[in-house]
Formats: sequence, structure tokens, C-alpha cells
Amino acid sequence: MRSIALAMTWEYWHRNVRLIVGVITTGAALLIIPFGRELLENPILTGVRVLHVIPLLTAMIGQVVVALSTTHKDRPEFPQELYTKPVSTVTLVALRMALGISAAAGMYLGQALLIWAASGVALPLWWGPLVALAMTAAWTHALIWSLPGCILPQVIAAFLAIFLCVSYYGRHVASLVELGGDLSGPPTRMARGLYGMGMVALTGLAYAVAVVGVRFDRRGDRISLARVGAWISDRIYAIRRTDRPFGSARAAQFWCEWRQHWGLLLPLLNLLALSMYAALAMGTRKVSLEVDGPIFLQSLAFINIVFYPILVAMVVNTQERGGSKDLFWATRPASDNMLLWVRLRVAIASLLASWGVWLAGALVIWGLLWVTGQRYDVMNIVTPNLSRLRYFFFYAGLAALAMWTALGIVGSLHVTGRKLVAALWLTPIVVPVAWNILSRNYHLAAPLVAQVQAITPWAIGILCLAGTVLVYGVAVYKGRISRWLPYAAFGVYLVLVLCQVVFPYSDKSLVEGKPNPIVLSLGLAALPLVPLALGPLAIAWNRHR
Amino acid sequence: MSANVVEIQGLDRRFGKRTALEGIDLAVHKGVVLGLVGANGAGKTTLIKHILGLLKAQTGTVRVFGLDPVRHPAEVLGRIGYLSENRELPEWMRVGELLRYTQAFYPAWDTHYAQDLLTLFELNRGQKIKTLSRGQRAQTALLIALAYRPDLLLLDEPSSGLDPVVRRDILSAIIRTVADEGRTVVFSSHLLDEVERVADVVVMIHEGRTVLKDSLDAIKATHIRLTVRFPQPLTSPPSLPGVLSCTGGPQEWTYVCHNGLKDLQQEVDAVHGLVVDSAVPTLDEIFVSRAKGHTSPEGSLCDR
Repeated sequence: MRSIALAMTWEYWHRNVRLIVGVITTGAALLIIPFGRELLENPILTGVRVLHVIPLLTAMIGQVVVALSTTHKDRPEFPQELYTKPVSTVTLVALRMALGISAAAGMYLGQALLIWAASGVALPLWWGPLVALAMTAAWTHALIWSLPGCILPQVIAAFLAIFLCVSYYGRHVASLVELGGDLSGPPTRMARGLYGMGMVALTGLAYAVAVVGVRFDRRGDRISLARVGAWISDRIYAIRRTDRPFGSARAAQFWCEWRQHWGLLLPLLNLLALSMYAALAMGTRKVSLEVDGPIFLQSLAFINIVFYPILVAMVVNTQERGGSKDLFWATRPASDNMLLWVRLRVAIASLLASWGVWLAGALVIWGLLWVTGQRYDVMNIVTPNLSRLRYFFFYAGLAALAMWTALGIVGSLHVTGRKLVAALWLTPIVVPVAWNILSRNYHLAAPLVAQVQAITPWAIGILCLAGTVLVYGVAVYKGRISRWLPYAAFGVYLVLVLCQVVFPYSDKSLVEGKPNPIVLSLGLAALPLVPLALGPLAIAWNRHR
Repeated sequence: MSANVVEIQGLDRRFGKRTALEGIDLAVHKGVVLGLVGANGAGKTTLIKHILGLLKAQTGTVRVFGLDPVRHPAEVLGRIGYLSENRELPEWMRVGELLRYTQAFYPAWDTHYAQDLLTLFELNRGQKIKTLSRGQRAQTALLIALAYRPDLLLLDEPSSGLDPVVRRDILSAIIRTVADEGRTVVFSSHLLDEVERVADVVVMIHEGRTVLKDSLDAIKATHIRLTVRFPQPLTSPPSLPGVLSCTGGPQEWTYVCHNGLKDLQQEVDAVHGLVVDSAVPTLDEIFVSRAKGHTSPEGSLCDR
């Protein structure tokens, strides 16, 4: 290769080509699949924002991923191998930043081209999105290179850069695009020069910051936030250090899993949400306790029930064989079941702690409402409809079962240590979303849609029952569960059926108008029992390959 | 119950189309130091993982202390001290935390011995695992494998990452001490001089198969390296009984044979050769000869 620029471009392209192509196709697909019909029939209906915000954001996030994925995947930094080349820092940074900006622009242009080819809709190009992308990419790279070796601050800084750049762009340029409105016109009319020049100036400033940061890094004077973190960690360790032995192996394992898998994450998220709400409630007149308090608590409870079990199952059970932690974990002198249940206990403890924080927040809000004489709102927190208060325990039990089921099944899938198997939990989300997109956007024949809708509850119910029987059969056959467990599980199943099927049917209003709820309920009632057999099978499949 | 600490019969293992182990039979007696020898990728680690129960035998049986390690991981692993090839340790823990955590799993944990090893290796309790050097990491992993005085010490490439001083003075001493206490050691290595120094029994694995399995003394007694001079230059040397490899030429050839000198002398005389040198080959020479003999087609054992 005759020039440094060419050699660097070649290396950069070979390293990132798959990622860039992946971002282009994903971004285009994100737009074409859900809005395909609208794009063809009436692009304005889709809205200018959606039309160009999706490719723009995809390109922005894509370029952050490219910027973070350097030679050391766990330690993003300016490519250290370039420091030994006889090239000045100013040139190195300029070349590398230009490549980053080109990649971001390429990702956007590629998506624009695919969308244009598929629908004939021309996305705004030059004096708007591309300059905004250049500014974002420049700042992303500048911040990542200036904070080498501190992955968390790097990621936060990169996304903060995106947020600020998008805000600037949205304030000064995107609104002009909308005002212009004419997507079929020449794309160069998108922004006024002044705002564009502002973005160019900010890009230049990012370059200057990057040069300073890389200069420090090149001469070994890293700005090490990691050192500060280590210092704090050392102080904490010095305070709470103990040499007292654990009471049992189980206690030691619990301590290990709790620390290793961020057991405190979920309670802290709850605490953060409550603190933010409290700050808003105290500092803003727009937020009123009596109106928003119950709504806020109900929303947080909904998140705790629906999303947290999945999150905790993913965090607690992530297992990748071949990674350093896993061989250590697999060679602990403990039974498979002990390792499994300690993990689930950590997950459950994390969830309970989250609910504890939620309850504390709820009590404070309840107390305040009670003091101010708004007793109706206190009840409103528990259930929006007082007439349904008699179902409180039923709903609470159902919520607990839902959390256990999500936690147990998602956790078991993750504990197999196989990425593809772990990703199976997405199926119940992806399939309905895909079906929804297909049926709404592509005018599927009405009889077909009706047939699918009629069959679905049957299919789900039968699938759940058959799956449960299969899992128990395999677990017994492989000797992973005791022979009496299926009988006990069947007994529990009957109780759940009674609760889940008979109880709601005592009140017709709960099931009226819903298709085949009995079959569906019979199937869903089996799901909470699945983890009892799936978990031991999954952990054995991972630990003894 | 069998007196063998480890007993493996007819073990086969495939990963996709690749055969990792084939027909492995192995019995490790109590108190023995067994050296598992083989090139990288020969199947040593795979064999060790079967002993640990991390891999399930596809064919054949594996018994450790008379138990199936897959069915009884807690009972088996509780008596094994294991040092993995890559020194897998939880990065986020500190050395002191790791000791405290590991201690909980082993009722026989010897606090004083752990402290002695900590001092010997000059490790700091407050240091995070992720900040340890490669050598310190190996020492930490060795410490937690030894501190409960396991019945079976399983070391996968223990020398990797250790500097020569630590390797020779500490590792060898520890292995010998463990064996002298009547406990068993199985260690894998591709450093044959190390194996030669420490092992009682040697098992050579090549491409997933056992090519040699005997006590070190027996191996040395049954192998010989001969240098033979012939009256005329030869393009290919005459074959001798039990020959594993031969190098040199055209007039002087060096053979490594699986035979005694007495038996070979007659054969050398018969082909008008003259033995100019005979010696006990090193383990390294035996291994190379065996491995080569195993992979080469018949009649192509000689290199010029």
C-alpha cells in the first residue's frame, strides 16, 4: 500500500465491514417491514420523523458500536498499534476520525439507498442528517479515545454525545425538514447554512478534543477513571473486610452469585425511579402526588412484574462456557441442583428487595395521601377499580406466578449456556409482533387472519401442555429430577387450574368475549411448573457437556 | 470398590467430526504422580474435563473414587484440587475473598497451610484477581487447589505462566510433597523435562489416542537410542526390530527403538552395521518417535 490513509482505510474496512452491512440492512428492515405498505402508498403518512429518524438513529448507534469495537473488545481505545507508526497524532486522529465519520455516513446512505430502491422514497441527505452524523461520530470518537480503559464512562459518554447532538439537530435542523416538507425535492435544501455551520464547528471542536486526548494516551498519561474506581473500591473493601468463614457452601455461593450478578441492580433501579419521582414531585408543579402518585406506583409495579423477572433472569443466569468465570463455577464441589437453586434464590431475593423498595415508596405516598385526607387515592394505588378490590389476592398471586414463571423459564434457558437456546425466550414476543406487522401492513386475507386468531389460543394452550409433559418426561428419563416430582407437580397443577380457570369463570365478566380462554388457561397454568424440571435439565446440559 | 483413584475404560469423545479421544483406558493408582503428555490439541485437557465431570463420556465409562463424576459432582469435586489451564478465577474477587469463598466448600480446608502458601507465593489478600500478573494468578489458583489437601490433585499445564524458578522449586516440590503424603497427582504438560523430573507414571496421548502408558522407569528401560555406522552410504537405512524412528544418514543413522540393546545387537550385525553409541533416550525423544511413528505411513519412519 502506497499511502498511510489507504492502509488505514483497508484495515478499518476489513475489521468493520460486517458490522456496517449489518447496521444498513437492520435499519432499512426496521423501516421497510413495518411501514412497507405506507411507504409505497403514502410516504407522508408515515411521517418525516419516522422516515429519517430511524435510519439516522440506527447509523448513530451503529457508529458507536464500531467506535467501541477496537482490538481489545473489553477495552475500547484508540488503536494502540497505530502509535508505533511514524505518523503525527494530528494526522492519525484526523484519518481515524474521518474513517469513523465515513462509516456513519455510509450506514445512513446505505439505508437511504435501500429504502429508495424498495419504495422510491428519497430520504434527506446532505446538509442535514449527514452533517449531524459527522458531528455525532466526531464527538463519540473524541470521548471514547479520551477516556481509554474505562468502558462504562466511555459508553455513557458516547450515548450522551448522541443525545446532545440529536437534541441540537432536532432543534435546529429537523424542524426545518418538516417545515420544508417536500421529500421529493433536492435534499440540499434541508437546512439553513447557519445551523449547518454550527454543526461543522462542533465537529471541529470534537477533533481538537480528540487530538488532546490521544496525545495524552500516546505518551502514557491516560486519564484513568478506572484508578479512581479502584481507589473507592479499595476503601470500601478496607471498611467491610471480614475473614470470618461462611456458615455453609450454600451461603458462600449465594454471596458470590449476588455480588457477581449484581443482585442489587433491580432494587437500586426501583430506588432510582422513586427518587426521580420524588425529586419531580417536590420540584415541579406539573407533578402532583394525588394524581400521579398512584399512576407512578402502578407503572413501577407493572415494570416489576413484567420486565424485572426477565431482566434478573438474564443477568443472574448468563452463562457462557469457555469464559473464565464459568469453568470456575462448573468445578465448584456442589450439586447441580444446589448451583441452580442458589441462582434462583439470588434472582428471587433481588426481586423481593425491589418490591421492598417499591413498598417503602408506596407507604410514603400512602402516608402522605392519608395525611392529606385522600383515602380514595390510597385504594386507587392497589387497584384502579374499587369494585375489584376483592380480587386483590387473586391478582397478587397471579403476579407472583407470572414473575416466577418468567424468571424460571428465562433463567433456565440462559443457564444452558447456549446463546441460541437462551434467545428462545424472545419467541413469545417476536412472533406476535411479526404477525401484527404482517397482518396490519400487508393486507392479509381476512379469513386467514380470523383463522389464525381462532387457532392461536388452542395452539398456545396445547403447546404449553405438551411442552411441560415433554420437559418432565426428559428430566425423569435423564434422572435429573426425582420420580415423585411429576406427581407433586400434577397436584399443584390441579390447584392452579382451579384458581386460574374456575375462579375467573365464577365471574363471567372476566372472560366474556375472549376466544377459547379455557384451553389457553389450562396450558398457561402448566407454565409455572416448567422451571422445576427445565432448570435441572438446563444446568446439567451446561455443566456436563 | 476399586482401589484406583481414577478408572477410565474405552472412553471416546467427538466434537462434531473431530475425534478428541478414542479408546482411552486409564487406571491411576493411589499415591501416584501421573504425567499426561501430548502436543497441544492432543486431548489432554479433554481427558481432564472428563475426570472432572465437565464432559460426559459419549462411549465408555469414567469413575473417580469409584463414582461417576457427572452423577456425583459434589462428592467427586470435593476431593479434587484442580488447576485449570487458563487459571479461571472470578475476576471481581480479591485474593482474600477468594480464599474465604473457597474455604466454605471444603471442610478439610487447612487455614495454616493456606496462610503458608500465601506467604510463600507473596500474595496480597487485598489485591483484586483481575490485577494479578499471569504468574500470581497461577499461584493463586494453585493455592486454592492445594489448601484443603485434596485426595487427587489435577493440574492442567501447571507450568504455563510460571517463571522457571517457581516452576522448578515450588511446583515440583509441591507435587512431590502431595505424592509423598500418599495423595494422587495427575498433571498434563507438554514440557517433557518437567514430566521426567516429577512423574512416576507417564501417559502419552497423540491425536486422542494413548500411544504409551507405563512407569517412567519401565519406559526408560524399554527404549534405547542407537547410533549405527554402515560401511557404505545408504539412501534409506535398514529396518531394525522395534524401531520407532531414525534420523541421520547417509552412513551414520540414529535409531530410537522399543527394544533392549542385546536383541538389537544381533540385528545390527546382520546388516553389517556397527553400534557407535547407545544411550537411554530422553522422554522428549521417545515422545517424538512415538508420535511420528503413529502418524507416518509404514516404512517412512526415517528422516534425513
